Parts: sequence; C-alpha cells; structure tokens
Amino acid sequence: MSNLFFINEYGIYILCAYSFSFFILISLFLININKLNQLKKKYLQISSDERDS
Amino acid sequence: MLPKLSSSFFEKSEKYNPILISITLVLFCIGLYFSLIGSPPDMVQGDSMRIMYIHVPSAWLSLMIYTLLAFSCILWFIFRNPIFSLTGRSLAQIGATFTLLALVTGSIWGKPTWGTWWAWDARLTSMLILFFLYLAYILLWQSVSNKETAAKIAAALGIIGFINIPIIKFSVDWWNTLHQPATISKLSSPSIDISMLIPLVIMTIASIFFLLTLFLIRMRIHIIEQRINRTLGN
Repeated sequence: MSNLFFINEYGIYILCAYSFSFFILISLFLININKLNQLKKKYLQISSDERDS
Repeated sequence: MLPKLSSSFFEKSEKYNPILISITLVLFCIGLYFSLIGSPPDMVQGDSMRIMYIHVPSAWLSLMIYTLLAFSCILWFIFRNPIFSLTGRSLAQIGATFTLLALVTGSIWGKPTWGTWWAWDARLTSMLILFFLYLAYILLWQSVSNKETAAKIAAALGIIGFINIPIIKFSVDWWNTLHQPATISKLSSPSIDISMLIPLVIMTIASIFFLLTLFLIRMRIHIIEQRINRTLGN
C-alpha cells in the first residue's frame, strides 16, 4: 500500500508540484499553438490582400 | 539566407510536429505512471521524494537550454546570421518556464524535507539568478525596437550570463548548502537505485521532447512574424 502516496502526509506536496508543473507546461504549449495559428491566419490574410491589390 | 532556410524549416517542422507531440504525450504518461505509482518511496524521505521526478528534469533542462542559448549567441556574434538570434529567442521562453518549474517544485519539495520553502543558499540563489537572466533576455527583445541592436545586446547578455551555469552546477561542491550534492551526474557510480533512475530518465526524455516540440513551434512563430513584417514593410 506504499503507493497510496496521495493519502499520506506528503500527498498535498506531490499533487501541488505535479499539477502546477503540468498546468504551466500545458498552458505554455496552448498559448504558443494559439499564437501560431493566429499568425498563420494573419499572414494568409495579408498575402491574399496583396494578391488582390 | 534566412528566407530560403526558414521556408524549408517551416514546412519540415510542420510535418514532424504531430509526431513529436505524440511521442511527448506517450513519454509523459509512462513517466507519470512510474513516478507516481511504479516506483518505491525513498527510505529516508518517503513519498516526498517523488517530487524529484519533475524537479530534477526541469532543473537539468533549464541549464541545458541556457547553454544552447549562449551557444546560439556566440554563433550569432561570429556569423551574424538572424537564424541564431531566432534560435535564442525561441529557447528563452521555454528555458524561463523550466527554471520557474525547478524553483517552484524545489520549494514545494523543500518544505517537507528541509522545513522551509526557501533558503538563500548558493544553489537556490544561483537558480533564481538564472531565472532573472532568462527574463532579462526576453524583456530585452520586447523593449528594444531596433532588432539589430536588440540582437547585439541580447547576444552579449546571453554569453555573459553563461558564467552562472558552472556556478549553479558546482555550487553544491564549492559552498555548504542545504541542497544535496550531485547524485545522478556521477555516471560511473550513480548513488540512486535503478527503480528510481528509470522514471527520472523517462521524465527527462519526455521533457526534452516537449522542449523540441515547443522550440519548433516558437521558431515558426518568429519566422511567420518576420514574414508578416516584411510583407507589411513592402
């Protein structure tokens, strides 16, 4: 039963460390993916505007 | 040189990014299983030692990324090719994030182990300086409008800041610190059991794949920003 770390005295520390880390890593990934998609759209828009003009 | 290189780089990185994301996800899932369930608790520290599997890879990567950043700064000074300043800019945000994770998870680990969230000892303070170096590098690029000047100052900062890397590495040997000395980097005789080494290695490889994935995304962001600026400039 040693693996039930989440109910012992250290559980809160372990959960805090892992949830904080993955929250930050996933947020960083999503922010960058979102930014890339927005820039791609903007670039395509500018390119098509230039072609039209 | 940049437009031709960045164009082929852009296409290739778009192609390989889904594969890298999948590998990263699988490795993190396996790593999390071994870190939280599959590995035994430490004899002295008990289950609190499980924080090591997220703390140590973050700390290693923060040092590795700064080394790569400093190397790209040196290459920029030698060749003056904008691809090296793009590399540095792409690495800085990821490095700052891993340094923040190393500091926060170290602090959370320190509370049950040392009885305090923070101590101004050599290892912790030098890691905090590394975090500020990353922040200064990022802010420099954002605050200086002339990109040539920004590249010059940022490259100088990147190279000068590299002095901090050996200080971090050897701080536990040079000074009396709360932080424990190196255990895993002594490859000839690592003082860690194989059952704990496995999750640590898997989490480190997963973090490296995460770095690669995000690095390629950030390179594409900077390349497309340059294309937009060039198009609008014309």
